Amino acid sequence: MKKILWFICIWSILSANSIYGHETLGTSDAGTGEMGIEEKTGQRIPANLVFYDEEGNRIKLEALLGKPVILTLVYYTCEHVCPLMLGGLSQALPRLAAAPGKDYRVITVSFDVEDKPQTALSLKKNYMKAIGPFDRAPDKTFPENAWKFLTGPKESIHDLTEAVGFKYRKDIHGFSHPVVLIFLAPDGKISGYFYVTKFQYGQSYPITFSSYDLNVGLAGAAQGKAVTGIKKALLYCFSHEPPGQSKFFNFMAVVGLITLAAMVSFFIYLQVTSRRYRRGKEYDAEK
Amino acid sequence: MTLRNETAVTAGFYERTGKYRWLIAEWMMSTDHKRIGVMYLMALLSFFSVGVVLGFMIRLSLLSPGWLMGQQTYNEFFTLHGVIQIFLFIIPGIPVAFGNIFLPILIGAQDVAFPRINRLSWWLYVTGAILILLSVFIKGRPPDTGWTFYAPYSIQTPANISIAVMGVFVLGFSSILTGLNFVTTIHRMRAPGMGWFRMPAFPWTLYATGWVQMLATPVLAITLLFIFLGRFFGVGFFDPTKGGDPILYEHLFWMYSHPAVYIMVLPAMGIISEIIPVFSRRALFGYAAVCMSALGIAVVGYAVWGHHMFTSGMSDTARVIFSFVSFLVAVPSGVKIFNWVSTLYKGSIEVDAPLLFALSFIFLFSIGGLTGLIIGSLAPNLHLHGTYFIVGHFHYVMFGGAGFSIIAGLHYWFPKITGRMYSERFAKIGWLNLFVGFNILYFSMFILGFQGMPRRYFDYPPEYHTNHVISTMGSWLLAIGLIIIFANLIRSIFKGEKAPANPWGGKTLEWTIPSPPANENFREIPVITRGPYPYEEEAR
Repeated sequence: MKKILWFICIWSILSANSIYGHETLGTSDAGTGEMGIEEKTGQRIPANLVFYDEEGNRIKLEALLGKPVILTLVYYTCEHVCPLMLGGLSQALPRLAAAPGKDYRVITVSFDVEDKPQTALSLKKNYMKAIGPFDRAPDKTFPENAWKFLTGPKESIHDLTEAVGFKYRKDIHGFSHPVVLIFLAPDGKISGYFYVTKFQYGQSYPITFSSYDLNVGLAGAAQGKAVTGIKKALLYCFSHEPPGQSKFFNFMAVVGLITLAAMVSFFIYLQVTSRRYRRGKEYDAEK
Repeated sequence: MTLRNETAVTAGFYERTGKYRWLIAEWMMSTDHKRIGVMYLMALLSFFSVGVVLGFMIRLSLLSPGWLMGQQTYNEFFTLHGVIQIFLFIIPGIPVAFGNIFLPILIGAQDVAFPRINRLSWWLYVTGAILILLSVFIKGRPPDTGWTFYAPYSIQTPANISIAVMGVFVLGFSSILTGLNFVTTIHRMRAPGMGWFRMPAFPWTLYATGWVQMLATPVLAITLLFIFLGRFFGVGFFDPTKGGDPILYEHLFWMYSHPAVYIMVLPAMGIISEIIPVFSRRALFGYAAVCMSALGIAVVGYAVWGHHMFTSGMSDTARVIFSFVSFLVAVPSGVKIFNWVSTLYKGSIEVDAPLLFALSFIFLFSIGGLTGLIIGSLAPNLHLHGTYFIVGHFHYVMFGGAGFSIIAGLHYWFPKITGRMYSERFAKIGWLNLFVGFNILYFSMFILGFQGMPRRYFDYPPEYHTNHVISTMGSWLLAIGLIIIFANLIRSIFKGEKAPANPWGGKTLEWTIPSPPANENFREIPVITRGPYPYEEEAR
């Protein structure tokens, strides 16, 4: 009987892990419908959308097109994957074959309406610094206008994310959203999606981009190609709250209460039986 | 009327019983609380010296990083320093050593309620200690996680974590059994007439500690078991890639380890509450408040663990509540401090070594407690978390608090335990070195931490060098102090004068019996008719 009980205990501990295990991985095949990417390769994004640049000036998206574009959608207060992705990008950009600002441009758009141009500016300074000295430019700095950090009004954000099929969700802490680079052709046509799939734990840049991948993506965008079919498991950016956790907390609460109850009963037992066991109790009250 | 004890034995408890051929077997198999306490005391002080040497080497290495040890060795050193000082010395510390020797005597009993369980918990302690030492010496790397065994690193590191964790797990059971034993002893074994409020303050604090040990330690056991399952079976309670959560580990760990702070400090306060009335010849001021505040600290201490993890990711509501409750702990602690000081007021103070250590406790523990308020408030915590400020703070509480009170108790009860007197002069010289060295060593850490020096770092930028040098020099003075103190005590065991039954003029029960005590403590079980500190009543 004891053996069977032991078996059940250990089995339940071990299986608890496998039941809740892999649903909670950051990578899963597709979005849940609410969050994810619905590829719209070959379609055009509305170029007349208005955003604000880092100085707070209104800027039309078409003013930034005209050359191949790497579009990233993040929110600026993110403390999870967004900064790591932008950091990885900042390390890859100086190594690309194409000339920044001339042959291509990076546009980072915040899908959080609360984000302000000031935040965008400080982020831009941060990532410009992360890029470091850029040897190919005459003044050794990465061109300012080659990487724009935009914020926008609600409607523009809505239209842009709809147009590229980017689905995100507001959470208790920030947002849940996919981590992806979108290549746009000079005319605003969506040329392809590049999914971030790998997170290298413990590295100083856990998300990295190979210059080969980006070169190929930009070249395709420059020719106006629509590249599809590279469907991979993609990374999501979200606050980590495993679904099994609340069950675990309930389990803890029950065990804790049982322990507490055991202690209380022990105390009551000691009190009640002390008359029987303790000698000389009658002297206690004596002065 | 007194109750007669049928088997009163007058021989001192050190004398051979003749049951076993070998001395070591006789002691290891003994169920006498005093023998078990003395063995615990010797083991604790041995581990304390190992821990001190490790800490000393850490400080020496920080003088000029790299000259003494490499980075990996440094990580292993601070881990072992922490594990040994916390789990092998200061958590078991006062209850198992002084509690075992003096709890039954102070309440007028012949032994603890379960002498054999007492022996079992001593064996478990030895087993746990051996396991932890094995983790250093067997093949592979010594633990390098820090004493907290934070997941997920403790699950991933190739170091010998499993065996060290197993050791701590076994030590936990030793602690639970001791707690159970003491609580039952205090309920059941008090001498006739010793009502709750005629019990000295030290048993009161042991009582509060016993409940904390029973209630909190199982949480640690479960947490460590999860690490164990993680390392051997890949169960991912704390591994995010398997649906677990590393922050859960921090919660579970501190849910035990914060109450553990009170396992260390409450009995320390008990010792101080014994020493101060004796050396100022006054009843402990606010005796009932001092005893009740021990229970208060034990209860509130359960609800503050979150203040160790303000920067780990927690909701603002939780942080505000944890911060507020942490402040509440200061209230019963303050009650104790004020009552000790009031006890001294208008007393006939004799500044002997035990009182010097007790006064240092009040001073150092106050600094430790007040800096605790600084880091217990949210805004400064964000700046100071994970810096040397924390290191300074907890050394003031652990070493300045619990450590000093152990040394105070050692001097106070030395004549009773060994039957010999120590040299007062050398005790005072040792105290001066220790006290000054301590403050140089740890106060500079507050400054370092305020400047931003992170804890556990092997190396540092040049602007921190001056304070590191000052701190290391303090450690030399402190080491000299400890050497003088322990050399004096060890010498006195063999060459000291014979101690009278009551060298300090104490009024509690241990001073009514010979030094060292006889085998079953009391020739006749005493009947108690008054409170524990009747100085004024007798003077009248």
